[in-house]
Amino acid sequence: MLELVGIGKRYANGHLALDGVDLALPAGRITVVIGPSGCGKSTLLRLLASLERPTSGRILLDGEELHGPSPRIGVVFQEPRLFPWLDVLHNVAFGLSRRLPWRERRALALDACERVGLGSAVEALPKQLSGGMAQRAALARALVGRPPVLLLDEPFSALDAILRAQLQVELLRLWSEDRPTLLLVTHDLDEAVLLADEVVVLGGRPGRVVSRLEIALPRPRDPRESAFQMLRARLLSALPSANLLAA
Amino acid sequence: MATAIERLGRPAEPAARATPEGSPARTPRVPPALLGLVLPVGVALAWELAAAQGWIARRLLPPPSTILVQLQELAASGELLRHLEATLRRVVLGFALGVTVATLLGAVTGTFDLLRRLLDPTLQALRAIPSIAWVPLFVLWFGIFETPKVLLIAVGAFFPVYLGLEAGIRGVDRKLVEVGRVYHLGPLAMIGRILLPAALPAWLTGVRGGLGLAWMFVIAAELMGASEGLGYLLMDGQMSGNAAVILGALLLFAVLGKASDALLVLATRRLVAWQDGFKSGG
Repeated sequence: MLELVGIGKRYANGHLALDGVDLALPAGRITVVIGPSGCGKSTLLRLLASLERPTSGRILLDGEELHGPSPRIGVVFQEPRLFPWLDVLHNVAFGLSRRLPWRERRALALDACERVGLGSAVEALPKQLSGGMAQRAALARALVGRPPVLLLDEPFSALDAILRAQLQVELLRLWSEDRPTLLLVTHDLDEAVLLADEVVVLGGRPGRVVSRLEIALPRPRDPRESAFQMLRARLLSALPSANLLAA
Repeated sequence: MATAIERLGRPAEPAARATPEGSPARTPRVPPALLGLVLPVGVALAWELAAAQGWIARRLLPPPSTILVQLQELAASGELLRHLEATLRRVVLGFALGVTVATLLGAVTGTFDLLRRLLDPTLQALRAIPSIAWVPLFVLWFGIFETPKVLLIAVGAFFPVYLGLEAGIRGVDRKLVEVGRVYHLGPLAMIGRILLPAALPAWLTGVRGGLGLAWMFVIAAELMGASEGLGYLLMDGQMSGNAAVILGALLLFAVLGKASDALLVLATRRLVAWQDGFKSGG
């Protein structure tokens, strides 16, 4: 269980990105944060990843306040952010503590590569990977330590539609193996309805939680079904910029 | 399965691309190393011809054949080897010292803002001193033997390496550094596992520059008083009015400088093969 209590974030330049955000991410569930650009959704994820410090409020992981990066939280960014000088295997193994002997790290990294479908590309350098493969490697790096919390910041937004659909399905499959607490930030309505147990809509300046929507559809979900479409429409009207979108 | 598409199409790609990459761009069949020889060899031939025809004063500008004979004589007497050894020893020691200190300092000033603000202004001010200007002080402190020479070369090699690494580290992609922070790397691990590898190309550029300056400063060091070394050979040629000795020494500098640079590039090529730039890696 990951909790945000009264979280606010004001940047050094005075810009207030988030104000009074209360949010609980229940263990083992997928929470999707959606909102128009500039609503502070990436800031929210960066706070949880301890890449930024909140200016007010607290973040609690299983009841304990979070004071810095934790090995119990895995992060996938919008870009793969692989180290160009390491091959796929070593990039994935980077996600593991160096206290483990290399033989063990290697075995775990190989396993993670297999799980994301990169088993035959472990020796490739990042420059030799396609966009989809690179993001798979980034996913493997976040998954390899089997963290109980996984944060994803628009992980598929740079991929083409077909690849995105593939990786969404695979993300669900990977998630169902260990069922980590998963937070995914996106601006894609279909992605939100497809993946989420709960969608949190962020909006306003500064960003606040403007509404929450429970998605109770059984998985796998089919975007063509009417129940899916109805939820998508409800989500759309919950977005602060819905009027703009409809116009 | 949806993933079958990627599985079928992609995995062979990295292996297949790894070797032929870059080769289609090099169209000429002539090895590039040979192409680079065309100009010097052509000039040497023309020079030889001009000397044979009596168009130039052989005493001031002896032809290549005379220079080679002169070098051969020096080699036969064992003198040449002694000079080469002395110069190479100084370059290697001074270069190694300069690169080591520069790498340590560049790593910390590049990484820690506080240390950069503390140290960098002083280092930049020291850089503004023409390195040759250190000679009197070094001679006063360390005498005229090996120590001041090695130190002078180290000073010369220091700055390009320091500047290259410091700038390289400061230019490392913030996004990669954030990955390190997510995996809670400490400062040392951050330097060793992310900052230094990422700044390696910039560091290597600095090291190449430093090597060039090491060769430059070995002459300055040897001209300030030496009983052996290529710089001594230059002075000796001037004193005895033997242009062939001077030109021979210049020729050796050209060969040694180019060879050491090529060796450095060759030795470090694999370290930066991961780069994905225009005409890099491969």
